[in-house]
Amino acid sequence: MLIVGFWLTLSTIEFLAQIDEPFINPSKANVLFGIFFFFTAKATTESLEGTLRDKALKHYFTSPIDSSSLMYSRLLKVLFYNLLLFGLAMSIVLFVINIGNINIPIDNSFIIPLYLLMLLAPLAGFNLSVLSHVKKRVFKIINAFLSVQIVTFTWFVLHNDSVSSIQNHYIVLMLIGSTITLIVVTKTYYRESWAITSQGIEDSNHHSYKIKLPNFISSNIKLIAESEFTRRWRNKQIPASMGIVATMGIGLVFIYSLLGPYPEIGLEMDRYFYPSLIAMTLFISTVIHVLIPSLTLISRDGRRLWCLRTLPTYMQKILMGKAVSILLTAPIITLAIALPVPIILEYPLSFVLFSTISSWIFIFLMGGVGLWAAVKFPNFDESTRGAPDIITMYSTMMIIILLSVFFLALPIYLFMLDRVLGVLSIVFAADMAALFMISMIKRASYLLKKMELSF
Amino acid sequence: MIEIKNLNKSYGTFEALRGISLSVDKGEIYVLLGSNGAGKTTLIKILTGLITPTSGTALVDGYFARDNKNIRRKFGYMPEHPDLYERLTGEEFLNMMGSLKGVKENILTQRVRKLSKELEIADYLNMEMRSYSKGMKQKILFINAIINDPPNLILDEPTSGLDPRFTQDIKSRIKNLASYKKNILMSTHITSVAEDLADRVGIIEKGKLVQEGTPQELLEKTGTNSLEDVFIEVVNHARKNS
Repeated sequence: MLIVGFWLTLSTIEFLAQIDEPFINPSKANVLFGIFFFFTAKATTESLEGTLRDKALKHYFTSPIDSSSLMYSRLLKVLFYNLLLFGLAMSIVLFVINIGNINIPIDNSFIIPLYLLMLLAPLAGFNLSVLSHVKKRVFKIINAFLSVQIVTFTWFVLHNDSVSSIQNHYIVLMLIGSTITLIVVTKTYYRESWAITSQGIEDSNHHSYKIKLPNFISSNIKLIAESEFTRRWRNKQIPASMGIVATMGIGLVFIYSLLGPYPEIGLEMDRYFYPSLIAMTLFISTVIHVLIPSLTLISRDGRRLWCLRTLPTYMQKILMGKAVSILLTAPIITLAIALPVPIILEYPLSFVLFSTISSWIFIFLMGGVGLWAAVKFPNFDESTRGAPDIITMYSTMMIIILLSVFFLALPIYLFMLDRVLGVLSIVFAADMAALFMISMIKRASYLLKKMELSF
Repeated sequence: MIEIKNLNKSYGTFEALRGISLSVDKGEIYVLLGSNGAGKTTLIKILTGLITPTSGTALVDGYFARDNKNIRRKFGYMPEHPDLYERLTGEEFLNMMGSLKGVKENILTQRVRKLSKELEIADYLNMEMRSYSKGMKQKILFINAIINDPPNLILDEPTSGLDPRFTQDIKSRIKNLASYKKNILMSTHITSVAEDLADRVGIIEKGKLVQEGTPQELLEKTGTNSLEDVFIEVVNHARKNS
């Protein structure tokens, strides 16, 4: 499935590469910068979780281990996992390109800077995350400025035509060197950053407010949903994913402002450009806002699952409560992604309806599959904060892609033939998707009831 | 009533529990005494429905807790480790658990207020539980176990993490609950706790119930002066014979 997925992605890239629109067919420099930016952001989050917020750190800090050795070991961990992931992905990409005879030019002028950027990304991410938590505001500002400088400098280097590729490599090597120097010089602040992060957590835990949900659902489901929602809200998961979805929505409007209502991309794709873009954005935003939180719903409870399992409540109601806590904020996907561009483009009401209802099909499918996979393949490793392993994540995505095709292909086909028929069929598909979600919750509740909580 | 018959639990070739049978009668405090890893927690988890036995039965009021949701209303459970929803405040947690156990809102508010005041945790109820000490979490767990006034209590190491004053307080509360005809099964590895509370003691060693009786009976059987000596004698004897 992994190889099929890569093959599909690379074939899509190969197809898009034929289109003569710079936004769709980005330059090598943009691709390199995009990958660098993604891995930097990933390393920043990993460093924050593993180097500052990890509960096990208090044991190390109270043991006779030098704090700089501790910091280096955590840095190596971030570096190692990022390089491992990158190496694995590159191997599969090259394998699929060769076996599938896909025409994507990957040569040394791409691979060498990519490898160098993959070394720079974890270092920059680590630096940003650790040093932005020191006490003195001056240091915070300096570090934030330095980190932004590294990223912008990388962008300019990659996009500067007057710099040859060899010079490019030296400049990236120089950036790696200076980032390492910065980490070494500021290693004394690591302990302080850790202490401030833990202290910051302690300071913000006094709550007089209560999150109350409306009374339209049964009381047991409401109680579970409120508790789940409160915890996810305080963990900043809900605001973060809502922020990402809203940003994606703004991004869509931005693309519209760049390309206008009729982008000329050739290959008779013009009229399908915005519908395809909205569909893709809907899918990705639902993955972020619904699928990923659903997948972690059980694992995050971990050792606390005894609370729910010993309650005199049906497991189905417990899972329904958890599902409601996710569905409550799902309308943001419709509001931010499915509606703005069709409304700006003055698409007919039928299309707006179709797009809105499609977003709910994605939400129901991902919610259902996510919850089921969360119970079927729980990950109780506390250090991962309930995140599913890569295989589970990937398989779930593949299942959802297949299900989406199954639920959406016929309505899309009918919509192209007749608008009214299309809207009616998508409403029917949404009903089926909602039923599918309920049936997945039923299956999951059976698995939850049987789950052995021997830890 | 709590009734366990010929209970076995294996993990592959490892036998965690081996043919355990015991019962807790009305108003009785039954203390499971055992070394670390003897199988006390496994037995309690089976009884609460968190683990499935390999064979045998573990019933509360005649039903297996995993299969009957209404039975789960009839026991209060206090786990060994204070794993709580740390992002919730103590009050939010107790209100949620109490409501889900079917306690009416006005009664629940009164009980949470009363118990938290008595256990000197009322001032911390508006704080997220991640800032609580182990002892404070134990107190929340104890309140949660008795919040709906269940007829059976299953307590796994209830005094662990508590200071001597509150250990004494919890012990007198447990005694008091038994006087109201509650059936109490609790585990501990602290012999003084067993000595103070137990109507009957069951000593578990390597998953097997090796000795059972009232504290007096056990003292007479082994010819020793304290439960600590009884425990050491029984466990050493069991280890020699295994």
